[in-house]
Amino acid sequence: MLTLIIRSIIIYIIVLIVFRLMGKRQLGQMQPFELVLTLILADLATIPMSEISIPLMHGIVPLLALLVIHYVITIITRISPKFSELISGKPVIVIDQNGINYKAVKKLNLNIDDIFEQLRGAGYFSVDEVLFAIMETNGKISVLPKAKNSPVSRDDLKIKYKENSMPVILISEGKILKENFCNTKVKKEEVLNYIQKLKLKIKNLLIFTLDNNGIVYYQEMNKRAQTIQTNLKDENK
Amino acid sequence: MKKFFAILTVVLILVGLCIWEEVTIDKYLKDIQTQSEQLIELTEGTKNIQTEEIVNLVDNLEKTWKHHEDILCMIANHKDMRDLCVEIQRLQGNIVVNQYEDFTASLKIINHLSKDYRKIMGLSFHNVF
Repeated sequence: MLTLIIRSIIIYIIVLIVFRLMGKRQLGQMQPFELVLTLILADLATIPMSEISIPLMHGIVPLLALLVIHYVITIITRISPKFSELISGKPVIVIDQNGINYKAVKKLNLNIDDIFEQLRGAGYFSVDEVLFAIMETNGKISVLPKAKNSPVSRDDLKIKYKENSMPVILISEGKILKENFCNTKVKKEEVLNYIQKLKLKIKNLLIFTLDNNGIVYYQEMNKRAQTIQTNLKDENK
Repeated sequence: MKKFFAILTVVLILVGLCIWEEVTIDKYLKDIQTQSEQLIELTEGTKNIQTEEIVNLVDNLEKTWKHHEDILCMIANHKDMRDLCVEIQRLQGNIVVNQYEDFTASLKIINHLSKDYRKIMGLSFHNVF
């Protein structure tokens, strides 16, 4: 039993390292070759984990070999668009000005229901709202709506606006995130003084954020969140 | 660059492991094969297997196996290695009861398995496909 636990821990750590080295893309939008790799990896990892008679190396070596293969394929796809097209395919226009391109839909082994399902997922319930729909290589549909169905922007309405700002989390679950202070021009002492002024205790803060307009958002544990306009400004943004 | 060096390290580890595996399997199983061949030669002329020379050689074979077994189990399937282990253990029992036929049969199996595993585990066109 203990052997199984130790083996599981080792395999888990190695799979974790392999996935980290494969990059974040592996977790989100997977290309066909990445999907294949993920399926193989999952299977490879479980066999030596549960079967004691199989040496652990028989699981680890193929895992590492696949990592190297994946790295090489990723580099080649980056260098050669033709190879990338061969491995991942290319985006296909499934809806254009003439409506649904049935030939393309059939070529993708899809049916009209699949297209509608994806369109609804993207927020479009009628083909009439869509100018172009492109089936991406990761299997998701990107939609360009017709102008009449496009969301109205502030520019369209000629409304004056202040640029959005990105709040930086400075305290999370009672812990000061020192790295995030490095990304801002606000001094840590300034923020801590401000927190003292508000009579807040750092260990009680669930979250404390600051954006470049000086807006502080904080919430104490088991209390309501507060938003305050301050003179603390992250001028870095 | 960091990722490149991580992958390079993985490649080097893989190359190292492959070479180590090839060399270890070849060396260790060749040891067993050579010793079993010695025993086969020695037992060919005589029906008595309770001689000091044979007993010593079997002891040596067992020692060699015990010395190599752990490392071989790191590389090869334990079930495959168990077959070889069982036959080596049988030799001692056959000497005690002077079972010549069973003794030589076990020796032939040991010889065959050690040759066979080297063939199965080694790099060859047939093994790849």
